[in-house]
Amino acid sequence: MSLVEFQDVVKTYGTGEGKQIAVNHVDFTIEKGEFVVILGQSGAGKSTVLNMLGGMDVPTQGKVIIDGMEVSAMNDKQLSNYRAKTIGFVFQFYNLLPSLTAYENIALTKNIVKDALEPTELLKAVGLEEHKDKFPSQMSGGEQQRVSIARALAKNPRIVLGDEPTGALDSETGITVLELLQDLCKKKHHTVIIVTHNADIAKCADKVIRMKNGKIREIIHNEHPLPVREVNW
Amino acid sequence: MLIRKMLREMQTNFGQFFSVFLLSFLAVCMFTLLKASNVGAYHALNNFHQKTNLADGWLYGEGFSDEDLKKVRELSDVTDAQLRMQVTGTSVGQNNAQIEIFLEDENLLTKPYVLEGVEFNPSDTEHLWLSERFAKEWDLSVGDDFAVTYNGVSVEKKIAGLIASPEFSYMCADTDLDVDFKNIAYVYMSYKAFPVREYVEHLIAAGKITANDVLEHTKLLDAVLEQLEANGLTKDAITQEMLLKRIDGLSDEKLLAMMPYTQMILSTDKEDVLALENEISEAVNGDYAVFVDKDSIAGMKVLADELSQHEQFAYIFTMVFVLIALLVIMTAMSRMVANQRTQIGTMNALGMKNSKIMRHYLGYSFVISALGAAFGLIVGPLWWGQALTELFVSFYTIPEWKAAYDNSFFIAAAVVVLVCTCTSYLSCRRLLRVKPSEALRPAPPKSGKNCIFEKLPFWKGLGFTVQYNLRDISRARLRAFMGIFGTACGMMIMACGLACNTTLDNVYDWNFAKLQNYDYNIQFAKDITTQQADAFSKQYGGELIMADSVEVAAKDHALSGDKKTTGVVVTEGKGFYGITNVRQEEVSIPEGTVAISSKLALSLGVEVGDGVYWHIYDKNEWYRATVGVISRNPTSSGITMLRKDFEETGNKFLPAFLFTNEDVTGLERTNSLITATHSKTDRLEAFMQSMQIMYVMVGVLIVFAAILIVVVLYNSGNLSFNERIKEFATLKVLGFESKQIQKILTIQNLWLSVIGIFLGTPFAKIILQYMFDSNGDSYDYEAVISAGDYIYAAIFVLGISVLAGVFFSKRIRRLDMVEVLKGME
Repeated sequence: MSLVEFQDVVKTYGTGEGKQIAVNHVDFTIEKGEFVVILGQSGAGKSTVLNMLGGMDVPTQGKVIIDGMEVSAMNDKQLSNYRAKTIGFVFQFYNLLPSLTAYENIALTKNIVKDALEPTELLKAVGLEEHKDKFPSQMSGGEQQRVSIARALAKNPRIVLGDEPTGALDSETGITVLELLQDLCKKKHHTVIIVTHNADIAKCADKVIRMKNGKIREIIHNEHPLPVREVNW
Repeated sequence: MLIRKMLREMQTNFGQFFSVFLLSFLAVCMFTLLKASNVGAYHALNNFHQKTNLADGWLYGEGFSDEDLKKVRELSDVTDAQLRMQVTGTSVGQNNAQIEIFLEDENLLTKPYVLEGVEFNPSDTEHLWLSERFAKEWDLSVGDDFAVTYNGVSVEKKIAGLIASPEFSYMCADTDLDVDFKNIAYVYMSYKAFPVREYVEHLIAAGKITANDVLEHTKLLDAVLEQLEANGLTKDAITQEMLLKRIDGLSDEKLLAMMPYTQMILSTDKEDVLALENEISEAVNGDYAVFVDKDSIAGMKVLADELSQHEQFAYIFTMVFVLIALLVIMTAMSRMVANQRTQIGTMNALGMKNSKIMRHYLGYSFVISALGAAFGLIVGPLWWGQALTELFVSFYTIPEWKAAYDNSFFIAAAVVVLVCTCTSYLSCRRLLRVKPSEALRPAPPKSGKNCIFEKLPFWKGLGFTVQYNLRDISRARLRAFMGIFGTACGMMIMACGLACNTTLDNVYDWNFAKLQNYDYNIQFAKDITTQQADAFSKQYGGELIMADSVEVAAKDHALSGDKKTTGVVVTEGKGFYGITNVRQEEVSIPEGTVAISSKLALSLGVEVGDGVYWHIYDKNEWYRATVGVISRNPTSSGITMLRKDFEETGNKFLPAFLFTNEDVTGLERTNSLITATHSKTDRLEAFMQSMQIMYVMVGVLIVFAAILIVVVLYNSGNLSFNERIKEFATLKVLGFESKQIQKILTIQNLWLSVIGIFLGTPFAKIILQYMFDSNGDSYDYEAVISAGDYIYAAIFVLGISVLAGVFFSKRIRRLDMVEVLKGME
């Protein structure tokens, strides 16, 4: 059984003439430990897919099954629990809590899961050990994103979701962040799913799901994903 | 197009805009509500005083002559003066109501204000002018006959006019415990209209005037005395018959000497009329009892004290409310503009001029706050202010008293609008300085830094919720300050409001358990003799009480500024009339000393053992007494002394009351020496009645405090929620449950509330005492706040805090993470 299963998922917004179909009969699966890129232009429905994967949104029709659990049928409490234990989220604009230091933003996860990882170790892993007492406003975008990744990992989630994680970063910083995410797959065996419109990132992925107008145009299995540094950015 | 944008956004964000509208409205409304009534009162009073040419000074004495008047008029600082006589009689047909009769033969000053009928004419001996409120109560009109009696003499005249006098803006009959216009009136009539012959004959026949009195006060018997002395006889040889015969042979004009003018009223251009006392004293050869200004005229003083109290209320409470409202508006407007960051960036990027964008956003706050302020300017004075005025009008008489406007109302409204607009301006200016490219992106995180709480030794041991909230408070100081300050003020006012009841309960117990230790009281007629009163005392038991007005000073030969007009109570020391010290403990007056009320002692600067000087208000002789007790009485001030000591000064003990435990109900109907009887029930009812305005004020206070607390805590929670919505959405995405987030928000609101409660608590008693002290020198309520008042007020504050938390918990549950986080991007 696949880790992620999208079964005939439809997501619509509004009703009547104003009805908009964001995701239109989408089916795909993702296996454990895969580095997946969902690729598409603006309005393709990729963020909606990611939101449904993350338990932040529910489909209008169809099923979203993660690790055998039907997320699309969960209530609010179950969804909170699901997000807490299964998902690590990395946002485009980091969404760190501005009143907490880097260390505390990561340590925050101790309030969510009992077996959260040690923040110092995670900061070391993302190369920010010396910045642990800095507040978000005292760090660069790349540093904030790395803290955000560390925070996502602190819960030791089954799946790490990234919504345009390099979208707000310069290319060199973006490469560092992507390397970090790729390493999560290759070395720590996390499943990483990234949503982006940057086709170059797809070269690093095990699987590329290309979307357009709410539908899947193609799913590409990349037999030889490139290490991030080898991609011509 | 921009106007359409504005209108649509107002519709979309109705809640936010409505709260700014509501606060602008309430701020202006609260400011104008009490002031409108006062401004109206001062306008009407000015008009009233001007139209009646109200005197500036009142000179009281045992008798003033035309010669005295001439000399006073000649003083350069005196612009005008006149003589008059005031006596207290009773009505014949209206339940023996108390009638203050003014007899004048010219009316230059303190003219009656005619509401119906013709102007007062002091030469008209066929008519009288009656107070309008009494006339209305008894359905009397111009042209009706009206009869009064004074000292056994009846006078019946036709009513020529219905009048009002500023000297009786407040009036309460001696027989009453509270205002009842059915029982008190005043009459203006010609001095010559009084049947002086009948009056003098009656006094002589009844033995109330002897030849000695006539010789002492007039020259009517000088010729008779000379004849007697020539025959080797003395004045004792003059019999009642001789006296009556002599009177019979005198003209009415000459007899008027038996009815001397007891008052001289005067006007001056000087600011302080009391500064003229030396000159006036010299002009009348020091032959006068007291010289006072209008602050000592009871009918004006009670009203002035009441208005002054309203003024204090208006300023203290409305200022607090306006301050908080402005604080809330500032934070709300600032956030509203900040939320428009990307739109401002977009308009800027499209090439719209900064000034145009600025005007557009200033328009939001200007239009909304101006609408709120304008609505407040209408509702505050015209509706709520007028309703309050109508309540006051039922107790006081000022013709044409209506709630009125003052420039300060428009200034207050302008300040509210200006603050709103300036807040938008500052927020907008800040955003316009940001480059359009940056403004189109989400705002960078607020700068975070270590907060002061991190220096706490146990900081690291604090949980996430605590640390997170402490950091948030140190980042959003204005919001936190608003929450604390608002709650502190709310707590203070709520505790004050609740404690008003406790204080009134205390006054009630104090009065009826310690001070008034009797079940019934008899009020005697003014002309009762000591012997007659003693006979009543013997028959019914109890304690005779004399009450009069006195002037008191800390030093001998004091001038007006150093003298205090107050009351004297002479008791028999039997305990029916209780005396309490400043701790409300029952005490007795040591023989040879007087008790002096604490407020009076404070203003005179005297303590136990010091000497005080006093004299009966309309008598000229001063006495020295030693202070034996500093007493405290909630409803009366002055000095209290024992009958024995009073009589030793040579003064006549003329009791006004007999306090007894015997049922004397209805005695006034069978005995002409008794004007009224009151049972304890009557007094309890009158007390509650007299507290009516106070209870209205208490109600206003409590409602006001409740609104304040709800507005502040709701806004504090709302701001906190909206400022942290992105953080809450992030926490939710990370897996936090709604309950956990709600806890974060509620805990912070509770902290701020608890701090506010602790800060507001100590001020409650200070403010309450200040409120009661502003009630005038005659009242000396001790502000009492029970633990229950504090607890109930605190429970209310915390309850609202929790309710606000529950309200926001729903919003947290419904928080659309996708929308919020997308919106942020």
